[in-house]
Amino acid sequence: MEAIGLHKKGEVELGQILEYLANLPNYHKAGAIACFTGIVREDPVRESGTKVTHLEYEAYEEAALKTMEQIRQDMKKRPGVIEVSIHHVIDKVNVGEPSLWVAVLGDHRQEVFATLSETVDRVKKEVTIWKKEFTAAESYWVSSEARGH
Amino acid sequence: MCFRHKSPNRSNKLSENLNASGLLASITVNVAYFAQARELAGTKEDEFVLNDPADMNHLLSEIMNAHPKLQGIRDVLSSLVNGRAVWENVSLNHGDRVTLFPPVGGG
Repeated sequence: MEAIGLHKKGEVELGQILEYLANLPNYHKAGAIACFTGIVREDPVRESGTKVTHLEYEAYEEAALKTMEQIRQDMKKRPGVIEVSIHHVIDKVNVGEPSLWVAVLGDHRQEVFATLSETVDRVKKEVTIWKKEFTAAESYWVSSEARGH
Repeated sequence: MCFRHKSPNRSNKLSENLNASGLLASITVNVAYFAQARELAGTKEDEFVLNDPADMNHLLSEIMNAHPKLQGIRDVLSSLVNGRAVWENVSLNHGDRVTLFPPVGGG
């Protein structure tokens, strides 16, 4: 397990990420871990009334990993932040299933909560990953500017 | 499938495409498309042969000619050249890798 990664569905889960953090040499200096799990919801971006069945993710992997690492390094520079882990599924993901995990290990809850939120925002806005939303009626690409995304 | 496109301005007469050193004045650029750009282009990647010197504006013009459906999202497309984001018109060199994609949307 690395700090960041792109995966097929089923290759990674939150417990592995927490284990990665727990094995860090300075883990015992930390007082808090904040975690985010992004899951696929059934409400569509388009107000069509037709529920989402699944999302399909696509990535320009080389650039995505580079950007994820840059985000990680930027966040690790913040006072009180020890480690930032970012993992994304690039696959077909059904409603209710997870597609993104971000975990922040740090000194106190104030630092980890703030860092977690900013990290998730940056992943959604900067990393070369795209998702296509499928309903029973249609499918369409969803950008980070779309409602609630 | 990779399509090889030759700029229509490139002459088929060898003598007209030689530079001062007697070398062929054209470059080949590889283009990769992602997400909606890939769907509208109908291909994951392309190869374009352009007159040298060439720049991004020239390449984009050729791309739009080759794949007219991309016109609908031209204004929101972003590009990387050899992995680096480009926000203005830049010169292109032989062998450059250009990546073209719509706004990102992970998570």
